[in-house]
Amino acid sequence: MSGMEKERFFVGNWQLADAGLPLGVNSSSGADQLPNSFVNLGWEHAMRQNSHAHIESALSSLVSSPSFNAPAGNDSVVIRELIGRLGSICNSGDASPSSRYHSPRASYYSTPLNSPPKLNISGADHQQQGMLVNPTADAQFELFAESAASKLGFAEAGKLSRVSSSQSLAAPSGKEVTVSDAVMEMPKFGRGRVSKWPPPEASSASGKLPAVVAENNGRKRKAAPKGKGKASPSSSLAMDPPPKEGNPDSKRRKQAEASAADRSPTVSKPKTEQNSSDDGQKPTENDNANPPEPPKDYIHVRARRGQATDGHSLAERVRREKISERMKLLQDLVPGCNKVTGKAVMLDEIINYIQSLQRQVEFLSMKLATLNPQLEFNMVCLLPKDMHQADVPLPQQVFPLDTATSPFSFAQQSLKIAETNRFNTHAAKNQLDSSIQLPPIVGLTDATNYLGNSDKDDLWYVIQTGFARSQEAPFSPQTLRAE
Amino acid sequence: MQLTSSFKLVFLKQMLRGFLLSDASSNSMSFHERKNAIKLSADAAIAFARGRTRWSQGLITNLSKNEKNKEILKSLLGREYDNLRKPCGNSLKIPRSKKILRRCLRMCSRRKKAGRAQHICKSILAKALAKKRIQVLKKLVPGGESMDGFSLLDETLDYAMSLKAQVDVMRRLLKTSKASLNIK
Repeated sequence: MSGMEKERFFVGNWQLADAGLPLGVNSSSGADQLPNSFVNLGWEHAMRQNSHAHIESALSSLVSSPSFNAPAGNDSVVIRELIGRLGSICNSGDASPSSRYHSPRASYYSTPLNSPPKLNISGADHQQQGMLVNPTADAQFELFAESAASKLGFAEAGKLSRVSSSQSLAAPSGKEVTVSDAVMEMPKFGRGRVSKWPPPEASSASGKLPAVVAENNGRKRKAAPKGKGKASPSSSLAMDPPPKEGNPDSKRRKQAEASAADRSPTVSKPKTEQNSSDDGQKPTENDNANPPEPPKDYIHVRARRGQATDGHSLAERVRREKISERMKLLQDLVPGCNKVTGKAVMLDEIINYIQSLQRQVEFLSMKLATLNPQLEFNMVCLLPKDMHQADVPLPQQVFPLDTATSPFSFAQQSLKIAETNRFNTHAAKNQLDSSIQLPPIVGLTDATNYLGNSDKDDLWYVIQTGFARSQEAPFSPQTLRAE
Repeated sequence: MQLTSSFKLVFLKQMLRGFLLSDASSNSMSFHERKNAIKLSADAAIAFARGRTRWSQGLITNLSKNEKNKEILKSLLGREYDNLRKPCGNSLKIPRSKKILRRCLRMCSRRKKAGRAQHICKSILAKALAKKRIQVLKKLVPGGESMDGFSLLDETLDYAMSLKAQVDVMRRLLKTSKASLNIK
């Protein structure tokens, strides 16, 4: 099968490449290095085990290479702004080291709000204050995790975020783990993707605490949807109905917590301590009891002090809060929207952004149309499915491969195959098209359903060779010498 | 989140299938036809990859309005085609009457409120501005007319992320094919 032949190629190549190019796997020093690194990584993994996870990580590094993303600095700015906003809401909470379930989470979450020395303090008044603030910090955390989850239609986020926090709880020192989590997540920050969830524990670096945890907390919020996003596409269709049902419930619970959270800054402290400790405990204890399920079936909204307790105005407030949450999320999505406040201007920005994206799609499809006459896409599509047809040329090309010193000679081989195929196609276009149209489509669907991995491997391999070619210019002298 | 590589991979695969199906690579089509075919494949692929959301359903519905595209879409999406298309069929009729009713009520309430304090007028003005923009947004997001404010914002978020992924993958594909062309 084509897979086995590929593996033979990989064997020959990889042994030579290993001696040749000592490239790091996670190098991100430039677009040049990145495809090389992931090519190496991908091939050796594909050779070894064809495991989905490895290829996916390689492909994800391809797909999210820094040369294409908006600068990663942008993201960190966005995250810091978000943290700043949350900080203002949470009102300098303390990390009380109580043994309650949610408190490590709160400490995890609210560490950027404290100076580091405070974290170790556990005085009585701090504890009480911590009790006061814990629900709010916790509620805010819940709020964002749940809102992000519900926005994206995945109800697992709650579970995942709690899993990670429970892991942080399980560690001997909660503070250590949070920092280590942050440290683990930091290198992946620029990628915009968390490939490991939950992050493994490691030794801490407490000196980096404020900045690192600040980023991490921002990552927490975004990582929650991303972590489950990995699982989602494979079963997105199946998952969509249940999360939609989960959404209203999670939103309602969020509302209850939001109202609890909103109350505390506005009301004076002695009054709030009693109220919020009572009411704050209820949602959080319910969280403890059954984490993934909402405890209530209807909205518990408390009236703010000095505001009407009218049914209408409460509903209005709920509605406004819903909208403002979503606007916040959208703000984070649309680049450069952080400083803008006000609904109308934000909507303007969103409209402009979507219009620009749509125009970009049009423009790109135009550009792809200009390329098409060269039948590139036929080659790209046909290549994986034509491997069995190209059996004859393949063995002939194995031998030059032994003498090749560059991994990109492999890419060259593949493109030679592509060219031979092209000639075939030119010669018998109609025949080939008609014969190919049905089998590849069927083949693709079959492969998708039955051999999911191999199809992805093929496509990935094809894309990768394309990229390899694009980066081949520096290596071309070597390949020429090799051949 | 959506911007995972597996999502992008699914999208890419579907798009390439669409190219094949719509015969986008042939020389027989004019430039515009080819471009439309490519765009069709790309849109169908992104809707397919995303799964069942309001905007993806709206997108497929809009695309299916053209008879020629229907065939391609059917074969491309397979059984997903019906899933992605059905629920949006009648949803436009109901909101129209709702809209009229809402508008009447709003006018009445506005007239009543206009006599009151200044700040209420300002809020009404702000609301009007926001409403206008929401209308524009409804036209932008496929299937947006039949959604109310909250779900519209949700769908906008979703749609914007998928668009971003679409642009990203198409750009990479373009770069790849250009590069492979240049080497020869």
